[in-house]
Amino acid sequence: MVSSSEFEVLHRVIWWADHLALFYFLALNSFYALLLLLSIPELVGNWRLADDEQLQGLFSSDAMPPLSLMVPAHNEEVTIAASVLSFLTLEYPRLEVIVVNDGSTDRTIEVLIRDLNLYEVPPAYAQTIPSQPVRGVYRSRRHSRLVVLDKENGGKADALNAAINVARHPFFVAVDADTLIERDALLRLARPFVLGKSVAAVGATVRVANSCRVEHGRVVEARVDPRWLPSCQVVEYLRAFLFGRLGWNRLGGNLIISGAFGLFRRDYVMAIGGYKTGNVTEDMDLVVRLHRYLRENRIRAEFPFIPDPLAWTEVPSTIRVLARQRERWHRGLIGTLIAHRGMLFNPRYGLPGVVAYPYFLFGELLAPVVEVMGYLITVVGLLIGAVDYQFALLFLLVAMGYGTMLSLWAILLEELSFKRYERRRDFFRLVSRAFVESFGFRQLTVWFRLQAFWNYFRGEESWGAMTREGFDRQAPGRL
Amino acid sequence: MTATLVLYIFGAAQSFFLAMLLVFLIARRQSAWSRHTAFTTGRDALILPIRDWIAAEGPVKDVVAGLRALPPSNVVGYASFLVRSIVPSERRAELAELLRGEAWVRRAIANASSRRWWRRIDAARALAIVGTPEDRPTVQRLLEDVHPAVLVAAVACLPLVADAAVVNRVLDRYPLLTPVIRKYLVSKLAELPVHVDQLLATRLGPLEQPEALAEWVRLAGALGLPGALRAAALLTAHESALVRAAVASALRRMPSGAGLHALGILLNDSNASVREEAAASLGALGSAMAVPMLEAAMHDRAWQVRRRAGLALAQLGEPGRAVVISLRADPDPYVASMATLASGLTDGALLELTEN
Repeated sequence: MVSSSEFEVLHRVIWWADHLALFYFLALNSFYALLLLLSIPELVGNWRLADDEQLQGLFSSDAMPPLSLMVPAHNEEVTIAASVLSFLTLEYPRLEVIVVNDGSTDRTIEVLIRDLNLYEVPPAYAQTIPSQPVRGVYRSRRHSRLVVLDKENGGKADALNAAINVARHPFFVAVDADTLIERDALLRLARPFVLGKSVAAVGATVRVANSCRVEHGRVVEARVDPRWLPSCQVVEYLRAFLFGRLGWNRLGGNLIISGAFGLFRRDYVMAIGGYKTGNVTEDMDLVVRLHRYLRENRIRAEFPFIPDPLAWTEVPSTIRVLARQRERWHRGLIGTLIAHRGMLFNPRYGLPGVVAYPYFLFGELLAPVVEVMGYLITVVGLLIGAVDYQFALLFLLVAMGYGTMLSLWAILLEELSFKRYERRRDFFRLVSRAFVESFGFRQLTVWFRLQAFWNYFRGEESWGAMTREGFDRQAPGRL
Repeated sequence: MTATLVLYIFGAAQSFFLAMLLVFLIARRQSAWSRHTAFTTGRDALILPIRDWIAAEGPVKDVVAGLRALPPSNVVGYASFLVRSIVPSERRAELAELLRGEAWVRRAIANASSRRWWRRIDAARALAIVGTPEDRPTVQRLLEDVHPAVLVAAVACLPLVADAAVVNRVLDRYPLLTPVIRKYLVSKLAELPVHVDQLLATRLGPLEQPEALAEWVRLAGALGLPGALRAAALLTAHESALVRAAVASALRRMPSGAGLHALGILLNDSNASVREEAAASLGALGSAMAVPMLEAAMHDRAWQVRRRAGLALAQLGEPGRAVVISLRADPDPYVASMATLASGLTDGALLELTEN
């Protein structure tokens, strides 16, 4: 039996918790609105530059800094040759492509040797960053820009570290073997160099490739998957890339550069010991460590972000795979934020420490906890009469409506700028997903992210298998 | 109750905003589609008049009328593309004369002082088509623009409007630009060799800032301007190694006795990177007279200089190769190993190594 005084206390606790949730919701969404406002001038500037043909011609000048493109590959025998050829045909004046066979158990290295006419060369580089042993270094008789490393398995981060050791150029681009890259993506990614910026890393926009028309390893027509799960992720990616990360550009605190496609300055990455192995989100960890390194050594360098759609990746199309991915991402976020907890509100780290870190802690890491608590308290409060049903319903509708509004903004930004979804049906599909995404998809991802806390504190370190459907790739033919 | 009221107000405002957003989104897509259609139709309609005019079978006024029919947001960009890519240089003046009177051109030029950089770009693009010496003040302002894209567009106006004052201002700013934009500027300044050569030659004095001076010397080298290179050759004793290295690099475009003499001095410089550049330039000049100097440089204490000297000798044809081969038997093992490396390279490998 609950006494009336205990009931009164419970009543007050629920009332306060509900109002705290309302405050959290308003504060977080106000911050999203701020990011949105900040992203607009960035987006306008970038799409105008992207449209400037004269400037595009300039990008292909050999005064652009040379780049090393790094492609870690593990068990990719079916697609690796086509992927490498599509990377070799990217438009960029000075480029080397370094493919790392990360201890594949299938025939990846044999396929590479055969299809790309490789021959072994003596290893001639300094092992600055530790990595698993390299079994062989190969060059191609047909493609002078290609280097292939064959090494013991050590994971993606370890493969990238091996490639950083071998790379000759001052900047490198890390890319997943199954990422589809736009033909001029590297030229666009190098835009900050033309603008004279001192760059530590450049983030790129990654879009959803499911159902897109793909020819010769390139997306030739952007489409929105008719299925609920991938199409909700299209809207989610638009939101995250078009105003989330772009808004952070203005705040100077971009903490995430996608592992699927991003550019880094090699000497800075070498100075921090390369990628950290054993971390499930090595991309975020690297960027946070770079921020720390630059601030601690008083080096002024930027982390600009390019909003043009540069790379396309396949997103999970089943709930099971989505669950693994989101759980892993959130587990990585927890690990990274705990590892770098000294940055929290620390003015020594400037905006990344004072604004970005707290946002990622309170607005990203704790968001699923707050959301689930909000649902639970509301239900309990409704049952015991501590929460007005009108208030609860209104709160729910406003929260969902706000999410929809942000998604529509992201679609509007896409329509104003790059307009990649040309078909009318894709446009309306996007708009409809902006409305339905808040019902089901959002709650699912909250649940998966919540599971990450349990797995993190249990010491789980696995990546989880990421089953892919594959693109409708066509062999690019002999080059 | 207060919280519910806040939510009501928030919800009402949000619903209104959501509805507006949706309407705007759909309307925007529709209008963008109409504009795109208008542009592609107009662009396609221009194909025939342009072809006829270039083939001297049609009047230029049809091209001007076709451009006028394009949507205002596309016309400057497309006209700029047309002039840069399709219209032969000897026919541009004829088109420019007529375009000068067009309202869209006047509007674009009036944007030269707009607060939005993409409007200033339109002004620069329009001036790159129709610019005259009267537009110099406007072009000069655009050349000093803070946005690199505007500067790039403005640089294209130089051949139409440049005089000594404009070129001088461009040269002032040149060392401050990013390498990519400097490279582009070089291609445009190459169209004004007389102005640039005179002005650059007067700048290449020892009193200038070393960083800026080094960039101007490199510019003289990139353009191969004889007057400026002669002035650069007098800087072999400059106190800054940065300047001396730039001189050593630039003199590869000066195939004369004075150039060889200056490079001979720089090959004995106290700074290894200057000696390295001098050796590379002697190889690039291709003069057999450089063989004894490079042979001596093969005994340099810095391996980078020995490597460059070896590669340079290998570039100098038979006399150079003979020296490299004979140096394989040199008692100094460092000299012998570098000579072995340089003499064992294929032509392709030599080209690749000397390009870097």
